[in-house]
Amino acid sequence: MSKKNDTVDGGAPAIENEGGAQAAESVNSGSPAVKDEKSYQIITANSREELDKAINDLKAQQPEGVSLIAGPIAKDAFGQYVTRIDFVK
Amino acid sequence: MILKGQNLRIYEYSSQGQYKVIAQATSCTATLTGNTEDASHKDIVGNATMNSVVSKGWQVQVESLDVLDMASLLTQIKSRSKFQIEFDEASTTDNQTELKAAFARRGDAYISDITFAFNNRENSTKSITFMGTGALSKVPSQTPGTQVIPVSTSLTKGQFVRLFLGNDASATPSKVIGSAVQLQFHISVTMESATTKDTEGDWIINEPMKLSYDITSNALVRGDDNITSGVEAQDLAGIEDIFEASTPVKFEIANVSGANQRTKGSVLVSGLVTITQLTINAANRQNATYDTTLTNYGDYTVGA
Repeated sequence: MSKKNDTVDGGAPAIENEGGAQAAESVNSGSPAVKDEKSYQIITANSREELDKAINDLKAQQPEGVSLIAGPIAKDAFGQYVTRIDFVK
Repeated sequence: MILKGQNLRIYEYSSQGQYKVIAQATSCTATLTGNTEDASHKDIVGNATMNSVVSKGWQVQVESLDVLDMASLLTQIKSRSKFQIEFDEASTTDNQTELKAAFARRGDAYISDITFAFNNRENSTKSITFMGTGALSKVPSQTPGTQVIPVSTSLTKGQFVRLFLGNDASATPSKVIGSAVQLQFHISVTMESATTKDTEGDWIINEPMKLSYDITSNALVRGDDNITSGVEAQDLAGIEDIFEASTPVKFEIANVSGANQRTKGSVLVSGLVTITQLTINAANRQNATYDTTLTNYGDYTVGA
């Protein structure tokens, strides 16, 4: 199952994984790079395994000096797993 | 027309220059306080006091089902971030778009208290108190806002977030609290007045000072840990051992998955704590439980 993604400022979804996980929301223009202390992304996946993989893939993409912190994992109304990833310099 | 509670909301100034609602809020309260001193004196006949307002303060409390921004909030509290808060009427069409009502007020505030609750088979919640610094001013009449924040439909069930403890300050927190039922992570920031004679108006200027946090856990008392899982559990005896030792112990609060929901996923917050209270509850015809209060030993780390 997949659903349409929203971005706050019209940017494209920031990450695409073959596992089905996807960025649902980004405060920046679609880039996972950190622009300010409030940068974050909401990612969704069909299973916990896919979500964990998406988090790990995102971690691997980060430049040095950027911490990636996952929030609590929730289930949305569509039964998908969702979490918020904060990027902190 | 009488306003309904869902149409009075707390907005936060966002980095995009707009006011966004505190998402998935279930209730909010704005309290404006006039601090008084008794101005009665001997020249006035009778026993009554005369309460004269000498300063003003304010605070805003919000309850919400959205805990996904936990990391962000914990980071902002650590960095003593100031928030710009607005209390305003929301449009009835979406409960979110701000209307700039006649009673709308806006001011700067710090988070002085926050509790994240992860209770078994309940939706997780956060409860925030913003303590004002300076005036909570009436918002001048402006064009109503147009931003609509998409409603988040995600809910975090409390059983998917658990507390892990080590045995001492150096041991990795690898043991989950066995048969756990409730978990709360609470931060308190003491505010101190920085108001001086130079300060204009009656509103108190507050500055964040001492930060402390505590974790409270409730679990069933079990004779054994017969759950089939590779992850060890802390039971009442283990908690008593930590209490006896009087030394700090490493903790992690983390997402969990897998068998018995014991497999640790991403860590939300970690640090060192000491056990400051252990209560064993043995009510007639009820499961025996124990409550553990763990108090901070130094700062917390957002993530692992």
